[in-house]
Amino acid sequence: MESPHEYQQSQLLTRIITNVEKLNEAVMVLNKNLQEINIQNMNVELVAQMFKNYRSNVLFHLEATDSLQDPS
Amino acid sequence: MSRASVAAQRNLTLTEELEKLEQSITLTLQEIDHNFSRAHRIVTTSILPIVENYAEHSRNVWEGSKFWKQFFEASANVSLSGYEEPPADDETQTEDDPTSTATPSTSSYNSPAQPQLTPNDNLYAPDEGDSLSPSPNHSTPRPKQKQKQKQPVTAPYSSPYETLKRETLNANQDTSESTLPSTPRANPSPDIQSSPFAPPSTAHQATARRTPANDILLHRVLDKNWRLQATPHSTARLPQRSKSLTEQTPNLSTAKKSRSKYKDDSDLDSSPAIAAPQLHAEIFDTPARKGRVPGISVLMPARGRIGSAVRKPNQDIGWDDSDDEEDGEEAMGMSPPKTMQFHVPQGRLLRTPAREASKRIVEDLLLTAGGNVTDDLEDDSPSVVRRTWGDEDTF
Repeated sequence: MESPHEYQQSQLLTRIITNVEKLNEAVMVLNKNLQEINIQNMNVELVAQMFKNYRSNVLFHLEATDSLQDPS
Repeated sequence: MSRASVAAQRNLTLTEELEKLEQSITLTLQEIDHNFSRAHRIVTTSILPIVENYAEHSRNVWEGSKFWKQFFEASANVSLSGYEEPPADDETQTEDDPTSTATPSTSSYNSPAQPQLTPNDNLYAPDEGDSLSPSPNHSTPRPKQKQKQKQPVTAPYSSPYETLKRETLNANQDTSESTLPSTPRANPSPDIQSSPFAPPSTAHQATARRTPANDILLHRVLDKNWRLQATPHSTARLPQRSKSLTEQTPNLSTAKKSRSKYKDDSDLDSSPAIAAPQLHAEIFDTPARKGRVPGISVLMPARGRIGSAVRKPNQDIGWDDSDDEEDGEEAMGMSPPKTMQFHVPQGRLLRTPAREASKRIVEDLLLTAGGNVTDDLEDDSPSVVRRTWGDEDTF
C-alpha cells in the first residue's frame, strides 16, 4: 500500500521537475537575449574603438605635419 | 508485560521518527519547489523584461553606429567579421574562466584546506590528480605551502594558463604572504576580458598567446570567445596602397596598413586616414550582384539614409558577416533592396551621401592640416587624395 508521504513526495517531485523545466526555458531565453546584447555591444565597441583609432591617427598625422591648430 | 510495552514504545518511536523524516523530506521538497518557482517568477517577471528593454536599447545604439562601422570598413578596405572561436580552444577558455568565476569560491575553499593538509601531505596526493583536470575549481592557485610540491607536477603542463598561474603565484610569494592567494587575481581578470581591443600586455598573456598576432580580436560573449577578424576586401589593392603610403609619407615610419589596425603602434603608423576616400571609387565600382562582396554592405547605408525608416531593418543585410542569427534574416530580406535598385536611379542614390562624407572629411583634414581647399575637392576622385598628399609633401 502506498504511503501518503510517498504520494505527496512524488507529486512534489513532479512539480519541481516542471518548475525546473520552466526555469530552464526562462534562463535559455535570458541567455539568448544576453547573447544578442553582447553581440550588439561588441559591434558598438568596435565602432567606438575605430573612432578612437581614427582620432589618434588624425592627431598623429596633424602633429607629424605640425598642422595641429587650437580649436577656434 | 513491561518488556512488551517498552518494545511497542520503541516501535512507536521508530515509526514516529520515520514519520518525522518523511515530513521533513516533504517540507524540504516543498521548499525546493517553492524556491524554483520563485526563481522562475523572478527571472520571467523582473529580469527578462529589463533585459529585453536593454536589448532594444542596445539594438538602437547599434543601428545608430552601424553606419560608422560600415564607413570605417569602407575606409580601411576591410570587412570586419566576428566569429566564434573554434571549440578546440575550449580547454583554454575554461582555464581562463576561473580567474573571474571560481576565485571567490576557491579562496574560501583554500583557507580551510590550509591547516588541514599541511601536517599530512600524503592526504593531498590524490587531490593533485584533480588539480590537473580542467575543472575550474582546481585550476586556481593553491596555498603557498603546497606550491613547492605541486610545481613538479604541473610543470609538464605547458598550457599558458599554468605558466600564468605560476607567475602570479611567484608574484604573490614575492610580495607578501597573503592568506587569500586568489583574491589579487580577481582584480585584473575583468580587464582581461573587458575589451577585445586592448593591446596585449603582461596581464594578457593567457589570451595573447593563443591569438595570432595579426588580425584577431577577442571578445567574450557568454563563455564564448568571439574574435573579430579584419579581412581585406581585395588583396590586389593593398600592396598598392601601402606602396603609395610609404611613398608619400617618407617621414613617418614605414606604415603598412595591414589587418592589425587595432594595435596602437600600427594605428599610429597608419595615420593617413585621408587615404580612405581613395577607396571610394573602388567601393562603388564593385557591383552589388556579386553576393556578399563588400560592395553590398557599403551600399546599404546610403540606401538607408535615403530610404524610409521602414527599410532600416534591411540594413542588417550583408552587414555583419558574423551574426549567425541574422543570416536567416539576410536570406529573407535580400530581394527587396535589389528590386529597389531597379526603380531608383542607382548612381544618385548610392553616391551622394558617401561622396559628400568623403568630401567633407578630405576638406576638414585639409583645413585642419592648413592646406588650401581648392576646387580639386569637387572632383572627389582618388587623384584628389594623391594631390593632397603631394601638397603635404611640399610642406
